[in-house]
Amino acid sequence: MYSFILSLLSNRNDAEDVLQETNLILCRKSKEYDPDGNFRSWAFNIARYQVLAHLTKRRRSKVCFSNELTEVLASEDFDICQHQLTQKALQVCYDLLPDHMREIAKLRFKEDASMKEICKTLNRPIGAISGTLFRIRQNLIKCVQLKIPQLEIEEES
Amino acid sequence: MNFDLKEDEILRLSSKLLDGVISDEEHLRLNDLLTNSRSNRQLYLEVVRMESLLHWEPSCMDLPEPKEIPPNLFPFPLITCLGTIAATIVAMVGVWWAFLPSLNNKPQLAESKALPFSDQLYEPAGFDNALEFLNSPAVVSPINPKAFNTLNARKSVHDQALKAIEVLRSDDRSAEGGVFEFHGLVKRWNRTPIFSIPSEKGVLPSSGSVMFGFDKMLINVESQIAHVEETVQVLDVREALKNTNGAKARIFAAVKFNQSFGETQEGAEFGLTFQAFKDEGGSSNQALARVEKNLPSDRDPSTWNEISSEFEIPADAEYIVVSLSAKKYGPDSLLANTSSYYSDDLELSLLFGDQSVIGPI
Repeated sequence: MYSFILSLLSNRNDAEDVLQETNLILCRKSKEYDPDGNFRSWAFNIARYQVLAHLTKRRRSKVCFSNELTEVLASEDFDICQHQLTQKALQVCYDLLPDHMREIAKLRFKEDASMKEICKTLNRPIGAISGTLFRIRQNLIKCVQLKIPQLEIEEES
Repeated sequence: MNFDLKEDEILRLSSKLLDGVISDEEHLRLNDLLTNSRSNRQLYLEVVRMESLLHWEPSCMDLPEPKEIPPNLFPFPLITCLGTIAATIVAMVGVWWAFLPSLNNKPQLAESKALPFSDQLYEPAGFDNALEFLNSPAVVSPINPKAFNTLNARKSVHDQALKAIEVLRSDDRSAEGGVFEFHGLVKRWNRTPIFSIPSEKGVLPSSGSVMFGFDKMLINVESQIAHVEETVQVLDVREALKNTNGAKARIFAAVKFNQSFGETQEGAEFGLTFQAFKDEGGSSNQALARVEKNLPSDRDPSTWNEISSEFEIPADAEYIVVSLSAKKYGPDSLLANTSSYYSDDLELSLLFGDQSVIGPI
């Protein structure tokens, strides 16, 4: 759910806020849910409305995707099975990062440090940190894409 | 798995977006890229999926700590013993080395004395910390000046060039230490791949995923010059020059340099050098001309400094040697190896009088 919301908002703090709002609504509307229906579809639809409401409020002040793109992104497949495989692959790939990359990844992803905080901690310009984070994501996504087929074969066997 | 340029751009822009450092123009560009292609959107969603797992799912980051060495593997008395033995051996070798010339080889002693002290080179013994470097009496270890003076460093570059010429002349495509390539009528012995390294010490390649990493500099303590130079490419231009009908040929090169953070106060001086050789057979090749262009650089690892140079190829030249160098002068030179030095995006073009061009290669 967080991943789906983040894909539409692209800002962690906003995504966390909307996730919290969505969870509250899901609890409130739980009686309306038909147990024979598709829970994922129902929940994601509520999240989508929450994102659009959030974007309407936010659009004045921050950069965000166009309405058309947001709708298109929201309708893209979000394969949860793939999500679990990605998680497994990521555990392996993260370990393969060079030390200096892992240091920045730890600050950014685990300790949730802001870009400014990372720059201050490592005494490096924001451009260099941003560039390294790009390389980290690039390395991880390449590695994950290679690992997932292997994990699928392992799971099948 | 390799990403094409478009995918690389999406990854870069998505990364900036997720870090909140994307500009308005870049955001518009990403919006367009995602609107126009489903595969682009899938890649973007893949990045976000990974981001949320890294950020949200703690299990991805809770990796096992490196295993500690079991305490009984190397018991404390054994370590002390081994340390003592190692120190004794080092001391004995040091004493033997110091007295060897006077005991065994008087002519060598005379030769050694004849060398000006400033030509003796010293290499820091792998200290990263500058203060440790300056305070430790053992840090500057004298190295046989015959093997490590500036002239010999240059000679090593020259030797590499001669070796490359031999590879090209004998058409030895399986030779080790480089890559044999063809670019039209030009054959190239490319040593760049053997120096390729990924991003390190906060320096990212200017493009692609690897860059050229220089070896450590050799430091001349007395004259306070630190220097490293590598022959990176040798071009066999014999065939290309045959068809010029006497028209002049030139070679143009552009390359970028960078350095990591270190204890030095100023950036290094980087250099790009061309040399033209005529093959006289064996090791008697003659350097016909040499052009060197230098560039004082900044100390900011996030920026690359570019240098370009053009060289008119002598009519009777057969091989062009391209080398890259990095230098430090003054007190900074003593701390030269607290930084590492890099190069990227070396591009060569051969321009002929009839306006034809080979390259960029």
